Amino acid sequence: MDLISNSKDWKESDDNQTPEFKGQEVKKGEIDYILLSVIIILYGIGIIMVFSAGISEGIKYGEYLYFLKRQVVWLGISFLTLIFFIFVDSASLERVIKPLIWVIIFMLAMLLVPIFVERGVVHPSRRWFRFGDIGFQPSEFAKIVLVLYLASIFSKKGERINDFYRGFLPPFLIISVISFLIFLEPDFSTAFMLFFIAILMFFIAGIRTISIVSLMVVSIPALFLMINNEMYRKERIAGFLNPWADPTDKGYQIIQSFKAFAFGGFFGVGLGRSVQKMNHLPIPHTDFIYAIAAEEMGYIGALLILLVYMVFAYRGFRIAGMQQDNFSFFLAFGITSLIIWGVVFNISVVTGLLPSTGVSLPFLSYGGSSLLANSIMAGILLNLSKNRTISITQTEKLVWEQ
Amino acid sequence: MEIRKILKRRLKIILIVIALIFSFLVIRITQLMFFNRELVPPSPDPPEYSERGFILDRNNEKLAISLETYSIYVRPKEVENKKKAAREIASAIDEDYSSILRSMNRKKPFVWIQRQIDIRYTERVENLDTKGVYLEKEYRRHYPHNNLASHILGFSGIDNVGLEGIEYQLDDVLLPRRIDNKGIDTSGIRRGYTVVLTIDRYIQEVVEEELERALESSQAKLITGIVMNPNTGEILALANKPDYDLNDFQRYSDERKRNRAITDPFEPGSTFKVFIASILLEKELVSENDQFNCTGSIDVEGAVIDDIRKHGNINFREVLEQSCNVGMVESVKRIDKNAMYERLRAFGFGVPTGINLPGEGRGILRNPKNWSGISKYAIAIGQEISATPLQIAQAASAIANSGMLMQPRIIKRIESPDGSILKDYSPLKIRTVVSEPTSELVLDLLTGVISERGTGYKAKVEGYTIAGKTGTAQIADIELGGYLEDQFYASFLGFVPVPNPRIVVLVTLDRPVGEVYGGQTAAPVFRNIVERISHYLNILPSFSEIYILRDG
Repeated sequence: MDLISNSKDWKESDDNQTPEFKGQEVKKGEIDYILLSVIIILYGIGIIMVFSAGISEGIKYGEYLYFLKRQVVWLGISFLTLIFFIFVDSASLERVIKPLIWVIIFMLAMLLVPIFVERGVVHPSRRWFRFGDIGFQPSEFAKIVLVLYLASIFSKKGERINDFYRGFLPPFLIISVISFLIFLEPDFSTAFMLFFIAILMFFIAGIRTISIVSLMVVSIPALFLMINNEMYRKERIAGFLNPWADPTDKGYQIIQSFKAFAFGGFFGVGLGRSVQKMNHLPIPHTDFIYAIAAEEMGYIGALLILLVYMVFAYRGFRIAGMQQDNFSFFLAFGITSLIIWGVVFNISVVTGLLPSTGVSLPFLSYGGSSLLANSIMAGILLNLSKNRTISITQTEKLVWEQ
Repeated sequence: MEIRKILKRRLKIILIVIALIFSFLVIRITQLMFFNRELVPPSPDPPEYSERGFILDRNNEKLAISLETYSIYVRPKEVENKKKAAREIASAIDEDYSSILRSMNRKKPFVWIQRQIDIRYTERVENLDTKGVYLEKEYRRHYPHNNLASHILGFSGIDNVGLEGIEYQLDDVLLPRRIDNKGIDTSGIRRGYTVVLTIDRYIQEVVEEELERALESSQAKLITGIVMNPNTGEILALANKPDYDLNDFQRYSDERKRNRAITDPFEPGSTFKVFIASILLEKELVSENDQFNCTGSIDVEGAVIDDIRKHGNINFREVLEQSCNVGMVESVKRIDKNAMYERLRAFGFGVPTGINLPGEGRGILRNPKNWSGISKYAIAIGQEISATPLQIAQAASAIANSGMLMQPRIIKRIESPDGSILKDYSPLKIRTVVSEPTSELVLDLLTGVISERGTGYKAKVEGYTIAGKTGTAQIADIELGGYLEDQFYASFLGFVPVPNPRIVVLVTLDRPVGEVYGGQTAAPVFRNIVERISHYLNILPSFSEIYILRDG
């Protein structure tokens, strides 16, 4: 753990922080082991649930362990990546932000090329780059890049954020471009998620409440237009508002999800014994994995998973609160928000509180890009957790502890 | 540090919002899991049963039927007072209270308490009125004749799945599952298809009675009897003794449930000479008057084949009548082994008959290139070859049917529950194995076996001209190789009447004690059967014989 604390890089970055906070000493401490345990628990639940829920789907691919095998490989890669990001110098992240922004915009644009080249042809969603049968989903990584970018912008701009042209507009444009590209894939939910996290970060960065409100007022008609334009979005909304109106089609998925919860009862039907995953509930191993977990592990299991995520949120925001430099603070806040709001959106969809979108459940849903992106974020968060503030005179309390 | 203050306040707001949302999610999950029970079907329903089709004999007499009975099951979660409920059930069906209570305490959506309750409890069971205790109407398979035709019918288990015999072989016909194998939705059918067998209940009963009697007197390990209509291949009766009670099948060993008339091949011994003689006569390699000199034994290829006694100078007719091994061995010297093999194959040896019953054996007829020097002669006297009783009966039927081999039939037709015929199994010719004149000649020669001169004189039925052949085979010693001493397989193969036989009857005894010869043990059984069934089958005594009887 302490390997890096002797490095030159660290001393450089530390030098410009220490003087700011009198009476306190920023030390590179141990990483947050509770958070690490939470992540490992989530990895474990994820692999078990992908195994269980993926079986009936895997059979369609001719191999019942199809998804488990892939997820295990991705988990290995993700865990190594997580460890890498624990030890990488967090300040160096800031330096690669600008090129990363362009890389991600370029990749998102590349995805869309076929749509514009062959006009009039009906295209399936263009969310992935495919290399053989391995898919790569840039929008998952766009989230990280965007959070890094906003953290960097806000930490530099400080109160100038309320200057419309110089403070607010440039990051807003970048966010809009990225969200719009993702929206065109089309991946409405990821685009919405990005936008939502961005607004949250604007909010936390101290932008005037009036700006947030006006932003929302502007975006609601846009949202409405986007939904109205696409038949399938309208259907999903309809299915959400009253699933029983069309239980075999529009309302089918959410009703099957409800059934999974209802079957679960207190102790669940037992691991691997879900009925709903057997061709009743579509995509049981990705977006609806929580419903299957609730069916198999029952109320106890469902609440335990929620509890684990709550601990994640608590530790994540706590780490944010401990950060002494603003970049690290915004970064920790943004990462924790991305993951926790992903959880909130996913579970809201699965429980019928939000219309069916395409938000996966962080760490649990099957999907390599998502697992890798979440692991990168978790690695960064653990990295930041080493920036422990040890108060000597306690002249200024930490943000969190107030 | 004003910015920092705003920041802190806003972080707090966000945290409160997240906390609220999480609490809200917990409430929502609680609601979905416990207050949304209408989504959960009450419990999986016990499987639905429709009625299994009947099995009838050729005269539409019911051999297997289904009775309506009740089964009790409970949904443990719904039962308020388990002890009280268990007591009530126990007293209604005279069963053990504690075991019922134990079933009730199982953590399952539903638990069977008792399946297919005896009909005498029906009324008491119908009066049960306890919450969580349910009655399910089920059909219970019943075999009105208990042991009759047990090896043919087989039985179906508690879930109405056929486990043996016709019940197994035609399971999806008797009880079509939701979709039959032709893809037709049969879920609307109340009762499965009716299977009509070629078996005649009366003949079957006679055969079984006579076999049972012989089993007692001969102390044989197993007795098999087959009565076949040679012109159609229909099996009128087929039985093995000992057998078992179909209504109580659990009590018997699997060994006892084997239909050994079709599953187990045996070395037929001298009955096999019928087929060898047919082949030789067909190929005109031998004629009925050819002379042989029997010295009581013969050397072939360095081995000695014994005869029962010195027959002296005899012709081929007498060879068959007296079952002379030497004469038979001498005559097969005239046939090429490949030709013999090819003809035996044509008779159906070494291949299953294709009867619609499970587990049929094929017997052993080795390829001539694997024959030893002695094999041809051993086969000529019915050793070194094995065949199931059904294969022997089928081959014999070909001789009785002017040389045409027929497909043996056990199923006559399949009817839908309303009586319309779904499938009719009409007679199926397989191939001509010998010419008509040859078959007539063979039958004529074999009538001598039943005469005073022949080995099968005990098969004589007054008033009838009968052809037949006795057999007494040695039994191969599976453990030591070679043949067992003092243990024999006795058989009698008969044709009634001659000419134009209407039935072929085969009786075999595995290891009779005391009298071991087919002529002594199997022939009388044959006679008793034929005496009792010939009038029933409208096979009448020939006029001349009646005349003689009256005269005498």
